Amino acid sequence: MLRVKLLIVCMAAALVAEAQNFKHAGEYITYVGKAQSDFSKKYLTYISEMSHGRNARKLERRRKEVIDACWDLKSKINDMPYWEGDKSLKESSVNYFDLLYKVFNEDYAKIVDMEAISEQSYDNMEAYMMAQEQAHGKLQEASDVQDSLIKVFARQHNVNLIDEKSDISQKLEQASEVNKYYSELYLVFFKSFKQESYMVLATNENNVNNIEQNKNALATTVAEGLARLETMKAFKGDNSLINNCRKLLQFYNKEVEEKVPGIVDYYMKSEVFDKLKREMDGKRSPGKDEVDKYNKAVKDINEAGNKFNNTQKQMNTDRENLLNAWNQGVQNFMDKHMPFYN
Amino acid sequence: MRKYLVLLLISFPAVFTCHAQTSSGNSLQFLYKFLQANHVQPRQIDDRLALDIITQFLEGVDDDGRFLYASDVRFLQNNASLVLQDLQGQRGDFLKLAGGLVRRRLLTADSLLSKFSSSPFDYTVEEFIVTGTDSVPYAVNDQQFLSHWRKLIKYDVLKTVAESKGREEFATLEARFRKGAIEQERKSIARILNEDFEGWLQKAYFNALAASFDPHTVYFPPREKEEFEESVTGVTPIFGFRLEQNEKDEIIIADLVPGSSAWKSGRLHHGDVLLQLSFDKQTLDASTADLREVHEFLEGIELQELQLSVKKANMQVENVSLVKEAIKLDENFVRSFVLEGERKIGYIVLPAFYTPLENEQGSSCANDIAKEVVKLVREKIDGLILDLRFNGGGSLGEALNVAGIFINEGPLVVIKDKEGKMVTMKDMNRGTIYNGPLAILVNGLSASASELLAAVLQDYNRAVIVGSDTYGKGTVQQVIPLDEDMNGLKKGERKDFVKVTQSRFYRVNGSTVQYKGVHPDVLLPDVYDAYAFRESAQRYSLRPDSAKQVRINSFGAAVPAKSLQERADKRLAADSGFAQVATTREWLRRQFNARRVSLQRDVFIKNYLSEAGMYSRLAEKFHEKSTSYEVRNNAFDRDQLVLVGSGSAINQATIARLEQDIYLAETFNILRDLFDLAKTPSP
Repeated sequence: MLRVKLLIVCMAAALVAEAQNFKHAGEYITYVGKAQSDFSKKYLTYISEMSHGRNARKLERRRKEVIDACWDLKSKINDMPYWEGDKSLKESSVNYFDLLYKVFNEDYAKIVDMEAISEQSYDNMEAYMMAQEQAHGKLQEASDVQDSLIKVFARQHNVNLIDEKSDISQKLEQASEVNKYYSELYLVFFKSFKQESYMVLATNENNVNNIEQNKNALATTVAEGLARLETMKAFKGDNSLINNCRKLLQFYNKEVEEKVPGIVDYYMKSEVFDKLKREMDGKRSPGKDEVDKYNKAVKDINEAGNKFNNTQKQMNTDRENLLNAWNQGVQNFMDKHMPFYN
Repeated sequence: MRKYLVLLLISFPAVFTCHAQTSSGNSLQFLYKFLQANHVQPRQIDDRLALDIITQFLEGVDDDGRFLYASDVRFLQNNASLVLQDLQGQRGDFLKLAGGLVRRRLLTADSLLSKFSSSPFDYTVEEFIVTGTDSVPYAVNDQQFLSHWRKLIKYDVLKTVAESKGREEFATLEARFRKGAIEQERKSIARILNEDFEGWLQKAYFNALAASFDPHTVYFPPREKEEFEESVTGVTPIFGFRLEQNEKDEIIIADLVPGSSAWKSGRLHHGDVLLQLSFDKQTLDASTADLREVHEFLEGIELQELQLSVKKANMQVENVSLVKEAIKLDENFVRSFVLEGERKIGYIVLPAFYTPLENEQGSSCANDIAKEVVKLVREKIDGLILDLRFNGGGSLGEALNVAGIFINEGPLVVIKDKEGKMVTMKDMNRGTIYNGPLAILVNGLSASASELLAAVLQDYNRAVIVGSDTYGKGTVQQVIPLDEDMNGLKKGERKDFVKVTQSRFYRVNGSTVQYKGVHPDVLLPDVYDAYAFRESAQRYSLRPDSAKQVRINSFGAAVPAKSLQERADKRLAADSGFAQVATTREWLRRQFNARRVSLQRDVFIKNYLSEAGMYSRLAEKFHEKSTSYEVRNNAFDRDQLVLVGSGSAINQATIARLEQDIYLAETFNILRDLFDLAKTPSP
């Protein structure tokens, strides 16, 4: 997330100063820094809700709170005077909050919309995650620009700044790291997860064309996913997400290689059997050979049918278990690594 | 006359035979408004449109100038203002004028023909009939009218004599065949005049307007469409071909029902002319019968085998045996085979892109092909040939789904409507079923959806296209009922339909197959190339235009077309089958140029037999057995055949046919070259 560095002025002066009544440049800078810090807190609350929360309405409320905070903070900065005729810090700060406001009001609003459809396809999910990354990038860039302008201002007014990380900034950094790691892994998971769902849908529709195409596409995404997992490292010694994801991909692979060909085979053979049955039904007095052949075919198709049903059942159970494990794993991972902030 | 055979191919895809209703509500203006609202390229009402309608009308009622005089044609053209009035709904009554004229000329011809019966013609005089000319030989005076008819009948008589293997005296044969030829002509005239003359005229008039928009826009009443749909969905046994009668009263094959006996024979195609039908000891000469007689004859057949004799577009005569059968549910309409040679090559033939709506079992051709591809992949084939020869198209959606079997994902085609609005259609399924080397076999009769598939696989470098230039139909039609509201009719009152060209489709590279067809990567000579039947040869065919290029993400390696062609050419030069094809094609081209055919008995028969010899030599060489491979069923179907046992005779016949197909053999070799070229890196 945001690499926000809170700039602390090297003075023991009171942090809260009356906006209109700055005694020296240090106080003036501290006032601006405090506004930034207040915003970061709100932002962290939003991120925390996004990772731990389950409630879309609450998340939206948090977003509105961030927007309100931007507005309030901007008003406060607006009330500041120029520092001894130097307009630069005030103006850059107003621009900074304007931009934050815009990102949260517009970009994140779009992201909320995108989230609603993100699970419909891999492309939507990728776009959703990319949009998040871009919005975050914009915030990051604005924050970097603001930091450097503060530094310039301090130098010009002989204020010595100490670069120190606050608790907030540490948490933000941590959140950013967790999200980056999770997003990457999530996309690996989601690509195969989505592809498998297309395959399952085609299987239910008995559409061999769609089953086969989606099965082969799944084989490709699984192979890519497994290769990607090999290159990924544990997060602070925590290998759980990688392991859960690998188990799921291996399950998909097993479906592709062992289970689905059997299903397609069954569909095609039952077509042949139906044809044979119709021929037999049309015969008044079939010969012994024909009856034997038919009885054998009945036995074969029944066995194949049982096998087909068992395969389907087993696949459904395995899939459900593995997905539950994945979801639980994600929750545990977030609880463990994502900072809480209310 | 032969000119006519060529024209048969034009009605493509199938045109439903029309017996137009004579309801006064069927005004030309109404149809015009409908076309103007729905056609991709509307036309303004002007003199040119009126004259085009007259030209097409004349083609419909008298395409080879048998009945009308040159002065009649000029007279009708001078009255184009009546057509303009009809178009504008002002009761020009062009048909009243034209109808009177045509009726008079038909009666004149009939009375003339009746006089021919009394005495034999003189077959020693040196006189000629001109064939292969584009201009219709309308008579300029009574004498020419008479001589034209005399020559036509003489031609028919001599042809029949030449074809007959009887040992009777010429005079006896002449008398019999002359009588037969005259009877046939008089019967045709009587049928036109007595059955529904006004309806016949109106159909010609309406279709003339439709055809002035483009060759694939056709007006027809729903009756025959419904009949065909019933035959497809019914469980009653059928042969599975639908017939129609052309203006020259020849009976031709209009459509084949997927999965039927006719479909599975693989030897019947749209446009084939029916010559003779027989079962048990009964025979019907289809060349002198009308549609009703043929239907009655066919209805009398129950379990017996029908022997069918048809003339193909290349004039070859094919004899086909069919059995009436109900289309079996769950039967795959698409079959696949394995060509086992130095390499193992899969082979799938698809005669049309059918949809679930067109057959009882709701089978989609893309899904059926997918199943065959799965069977072949399990055989571990080295390459695959998809045969789209004679495939006149069908469902666009199915063609896209077939493309998806071979293409991972991405845009496949762009559709543009009359407003210029473009829609890109994509392969929505990620993944393929078959990734290996692929050849698509096409010919001049591969049209529309076939061309779309060949084009997209070519643009993605996914397949090597083998054969001849395809037909050139890059348009999409829809059959829509004429709108009642436009004419103030009550709902359900209007029963006629129009198949109208509503949009064009474009390749992903922005170009079109319209007018131009798909040019194969490896060109093989084809006797059909002697005929001008493709879209570009059609009157009023839409000219090619372009759309913007669509971005494709993944291209395969370019097809080494030049090297493949060079290697193929070397083989073709040494191949007696293709040498015969080339000879026949050149010979046919000469035949089709305007030429004078002598009607002197000995000269005619000598020439005719020499022509027949050319065809039989072609037929012989055409079916040389390949030495490169043997054809067998795939393992899955083999088990099925053991299990089910039916259809083994058809199966054996199909295998024998595939083993004797020189185009298939050459495509097999081309795939082999592709493997060789892939091994040796290009310099």
